[in-house]
Amino acid sequence: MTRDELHAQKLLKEAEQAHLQLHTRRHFLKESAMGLGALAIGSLLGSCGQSALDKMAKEAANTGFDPLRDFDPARPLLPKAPPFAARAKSVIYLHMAGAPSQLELFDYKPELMKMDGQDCPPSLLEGKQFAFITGVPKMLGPQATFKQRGESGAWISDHLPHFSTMADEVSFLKAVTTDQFNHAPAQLLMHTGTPRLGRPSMGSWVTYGLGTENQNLPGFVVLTSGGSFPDAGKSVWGSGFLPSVYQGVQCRSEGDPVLFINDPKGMSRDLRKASIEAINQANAATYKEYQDPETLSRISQYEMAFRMQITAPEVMNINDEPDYIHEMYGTQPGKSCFANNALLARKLVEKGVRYVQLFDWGWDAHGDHAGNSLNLGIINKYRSVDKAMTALLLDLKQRGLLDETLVVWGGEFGRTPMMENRNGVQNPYKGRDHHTDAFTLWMAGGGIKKGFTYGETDEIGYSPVSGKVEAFDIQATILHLMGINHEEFTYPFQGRPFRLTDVGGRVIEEVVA
Amino acid sequence: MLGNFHPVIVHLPIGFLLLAILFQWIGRRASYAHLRLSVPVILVLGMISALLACVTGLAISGSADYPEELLGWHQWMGIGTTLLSLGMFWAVQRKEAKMTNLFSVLLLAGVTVTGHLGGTLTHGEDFLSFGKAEAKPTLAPIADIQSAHAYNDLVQPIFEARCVSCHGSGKQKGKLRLDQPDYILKGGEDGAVVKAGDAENSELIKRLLLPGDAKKHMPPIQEAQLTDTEISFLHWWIQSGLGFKQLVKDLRQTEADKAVLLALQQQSQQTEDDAATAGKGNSSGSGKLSATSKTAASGAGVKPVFTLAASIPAEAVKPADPALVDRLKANGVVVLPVNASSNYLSLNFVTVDKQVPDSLLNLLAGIREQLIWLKLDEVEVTKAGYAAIGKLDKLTRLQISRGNLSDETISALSGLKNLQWLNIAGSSVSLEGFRQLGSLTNLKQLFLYKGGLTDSEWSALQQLFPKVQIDTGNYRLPLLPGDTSLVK
Repeated sequence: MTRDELHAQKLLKEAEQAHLQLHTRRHFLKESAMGLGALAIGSLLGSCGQSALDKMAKEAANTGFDPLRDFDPARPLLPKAPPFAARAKSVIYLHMAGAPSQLELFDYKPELMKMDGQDCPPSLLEGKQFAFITGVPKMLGPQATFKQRGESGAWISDHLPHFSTMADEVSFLKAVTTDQFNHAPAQLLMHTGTPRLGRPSMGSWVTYGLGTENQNLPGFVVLTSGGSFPDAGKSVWGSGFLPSVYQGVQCRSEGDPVLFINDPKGMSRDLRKASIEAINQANAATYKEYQDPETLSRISQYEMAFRMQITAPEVMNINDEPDYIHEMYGTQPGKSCFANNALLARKLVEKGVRYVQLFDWGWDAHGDHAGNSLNLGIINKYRSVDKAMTALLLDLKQRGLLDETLVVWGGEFGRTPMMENRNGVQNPYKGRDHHTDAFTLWMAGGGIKKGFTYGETDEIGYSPVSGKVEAFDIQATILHLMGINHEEFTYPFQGRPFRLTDVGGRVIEEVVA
Repeated sequence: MLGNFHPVIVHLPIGFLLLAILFQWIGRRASYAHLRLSVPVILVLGMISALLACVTGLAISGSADYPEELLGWHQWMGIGTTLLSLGMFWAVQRKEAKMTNLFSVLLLAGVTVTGHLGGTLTHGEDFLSFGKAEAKPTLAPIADIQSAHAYNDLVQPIFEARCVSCHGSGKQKGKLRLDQPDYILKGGEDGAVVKAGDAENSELIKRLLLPGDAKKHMPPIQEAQLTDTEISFLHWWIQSGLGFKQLVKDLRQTEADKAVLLALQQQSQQTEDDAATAGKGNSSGSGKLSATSKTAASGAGVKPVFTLAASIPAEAVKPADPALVDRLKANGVVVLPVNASSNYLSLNFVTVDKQVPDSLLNLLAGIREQLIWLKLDEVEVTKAGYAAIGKLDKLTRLQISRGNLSDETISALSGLKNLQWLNIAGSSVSLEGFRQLGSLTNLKQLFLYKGGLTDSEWSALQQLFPKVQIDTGNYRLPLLPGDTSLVK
């Protein structure tokens, strides 16, 4: 056989395999039912599989918010009106992956300072699980100087000199808790509502429910910095059981924002158009045969990719911003950094992107080496986000975007008031272990009170005393601000309707203006 | 511009004049007599720099909001000090020993007092206080504010701590007494100070809310001030009908009022906590942890003046013509109901070409009743197009930013009576242009980033729209050493 013949044979084989993959159980039943003429099987079909799902979807439609009612698989990202009056149209979620220490930034604990270096009281350790702490650790006082800021008098440490000026713009949640003490599950819980893999992320839920205003850009964009992906990997912006079109589109912050967005040399725009049309025709034929709505999503994604080639390079190119904007954010053009991503997030929201998720990696302040020590490496993390996140708030504000954009900042859990002693031995540098019971998160813009603090912790920042909230509450609040009731917002899957907040969640009305 | 140098230059005369006085005095001892030779030269330098300080000081005085009275004192003391230095120079030159001594003492006093007044102007009243001379708290700790007596437990202690020293049995400034219910209702020489159920128009609240430097602001700015929570509380108390006999829970309250009350409760407990921790000392090792309110000193938070949800009119409207909506969508306009159960519409031109055709804007007349939010960012609109937008009088939120809005076209917007929020960032509109928007009485927020007005024009603009929150943007963040360096 010649090379060409081999190649053709391979292609044929691939086509055959693709064809077989598209053969679902339904096709098999349908075809065998026809072949055998066994009508009984037909009646079985009526009570299981897709038709049951359809029935369930219909029931859901009657009770709650069901975007499937006017779901157009050919244009899955078309914007939809929120079920009730929204306070925000877009979300920018700044996630500090690795979990920043509340005790060095926002949760001021002078009592902890007095206990510095003493053995941890046994009552704090009973029945608790830590990632690394074993035996009796020593207490560790705040490695920061705190001051009260602004009219609201919120405590913010000197580690965030720029953000300190924003005290009167944000609402702090001081008593956030989680039940996961490892990064990946805790990140998944924060963004997908479960510590296990497989559920849709919040950005997917929001774009599924509301679509996005600009059809030339993705509705859910993910930007990462800090040199590494969040521990939970791409699942933390996955679409789970929602149609795959709703998963986060990860853009790169250096080079082309989306790989291969520019046509290769010699490929003209017309040729690109013709090839996409050909692919879409093939897909349309497949859809006609198998009726899988994912095929229609696929077609629409090709179409969007074609439109994005024009819009995305312009929107995603931060180099055209004036110098003083670059100076305000502290960007490093050409490099990958949080500041670049913050500026990009503003540009995307300005152009109507629904949900922008930032992950900045490297906040895991264990103190087992200098790079993650509270008084060395982690200080550089503070510096790398302080100016940029302040600039983001100011920039949104001056453009009139802050009242329609919700900005959320936080990690996946907090840090212990004890110094970490890995395997019972004091770590060489100042560091804290993972802590699930209390940490701080802030929100701003989009219908959030300004200069407000909700929740407080005990005098060493170990446990909540009042205003305790959990991941479900934060998710419920974000959905609420977007005009969605989290209890009615469901998707049918595996025989039951699913919610982002599962069976939990309370809208934190206290912070809603 | 010139005025900006005042804070720098003032330090020169302070240094020179103090040095001259010092040399003059030390020179009394024979072994240091040679120092006196340099006194006239230093005095001349002092005089020249003092004169410069006066000139720059006068220049800066007009440009910023300083308390008038304080400013007046500082100004005349400054001029007086300059004259005193001239006097001392004269006395030194004439070798009039007695006069020199007299002038040097006066000059020392002049420099000190003027300098202190200047410091107070820029850094505030308490800039010299060592430690914290905190005002005594108004309220005793309250465990449960809802079961507190509104007047006896809350209002009366606040008045007692902050007002009664001038408006009580001792002094009755403005013939007003706030120490007993009868007197509170009676008011002062200009009539009633509280109107039950109408806090907005109650003189008491108005005075509390005036800016600190206003003459009529109460309490006078040098005295201890009420906290925002206390003012919000008094506002609620008046609004809910001036209950002198009721408990808090028996008075009318909205959700927001409840938050204010809770904040007041927290405030009262906080002062208790401060006292408690001061006496307690180190409580570590006990293992049992109690609540501490020291963590958050925050009040009730501030609501933004504009929220999307609150800008949707309460009255219902009939649905928009679906054919027209489809036509707009076909032209790339994002058309959405503001929420699923409302017929009011939100429009965004984000996916429309930069040059918006008049024909498209003219279509909007057909959905005039429904259209409340309109967003046109980075677009160019013709004069006729602006005229079409100007007819959409149901709009509550309008953005025409980074486009070509100008003095000539802005008048079109003067008819948008329901507008609460206007963003015309990046437009070249002059002060004259803005005068045409005086008719927008419902306006709450105005965004003018990159507006290109001068500083004095900005303040004139704020006077033109006294109730509107104007955001001129153009924020800058200083470059701090930590921003570009790494800890190693």
